[in-house]
Amino acid sequence: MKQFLVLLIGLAVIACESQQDRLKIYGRSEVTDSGDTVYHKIADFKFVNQDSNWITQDTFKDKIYVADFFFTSCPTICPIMKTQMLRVYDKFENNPDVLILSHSIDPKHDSVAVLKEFADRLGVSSDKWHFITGQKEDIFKVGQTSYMVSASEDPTAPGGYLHSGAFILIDKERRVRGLYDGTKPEAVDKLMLDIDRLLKEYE
Amino acid sequence: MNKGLLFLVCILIAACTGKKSGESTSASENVKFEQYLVEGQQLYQIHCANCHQMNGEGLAKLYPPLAKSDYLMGDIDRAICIQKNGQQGEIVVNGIDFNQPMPGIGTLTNLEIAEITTYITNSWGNEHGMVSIKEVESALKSCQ
Repeated sequence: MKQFLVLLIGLAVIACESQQDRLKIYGRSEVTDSGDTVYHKIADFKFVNQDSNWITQDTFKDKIYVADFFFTSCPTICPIMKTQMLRVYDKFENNPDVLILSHSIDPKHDSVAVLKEFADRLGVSSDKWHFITGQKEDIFKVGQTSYMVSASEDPTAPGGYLHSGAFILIDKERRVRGLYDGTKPEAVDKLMLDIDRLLKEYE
Repeated sequence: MNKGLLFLVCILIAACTGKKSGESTSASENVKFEQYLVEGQQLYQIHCANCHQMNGEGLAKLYPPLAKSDYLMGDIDRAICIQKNGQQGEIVVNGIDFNQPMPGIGTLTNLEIAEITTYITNSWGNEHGMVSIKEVESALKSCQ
């Protein structure tokens, strides 16, 4: 009996550990009538990237990706976010399963041409890192309802916008699997480790 | 113990008063220079490092370097004006063109600008010496 108990506890510990290997799934989940759990998903979207190509959920089919919100003329946290995102880019540059999606929240100024120049000057490839623009309402909405971050206009903030510095990790099922402070190097270290863990889930 | 302390104090006093007046001025100038560097570094981290980076190297072709920058070291008055008033348009730094507007920080005091300018012109291989408040005042008068 005692031995059995030890075995049981051992199994429970192993089960817990393998549970911990999997990243948490963020957001509200629901159980359907048939008993399946339905998780919060990134809603369908359609924006234009720095090459004037349409970018939709299909662009990220069978990919995991990191999303963020920024604007090119932002004087505050964006440059530091881009410095940190560049680390993610460098690490996963040769892994076709990992992409990056940066949403401009200042689409009036950040035209396709402005985004193109920004990406070129950053020295990154558009196959890997999409900079997108579109209708401001759509971008704010996808930020708030899909990616769980805030973005809004605020004339009192430097640059005119208030926005979260979050990096959001999305899996192949369009679920949010991690939120990280894109202005903190140690948080971005964690993101890069979590990307490795998430990739392992699909092996 | 008490005697030892007294002795130490005496030595300190002797050290402070024993110098000729000329030497003590340059010593206090050195202290001021050090202060400007320390204060300047803190202000730099708050206002500048997001773009120009902690190591002054800038970021790719987006944000120009300050470290060993010909644009900065070639015209320090211009750098003072840019901190206060910002800058737009294309510039060439160490042979590479940059075209990202820099917002000025109108709320910086002349002392703060002197501290930042002292820090950036004496770090990462740059060597200029201290930039005083007077130099900042006169540079700001002739900003374009």
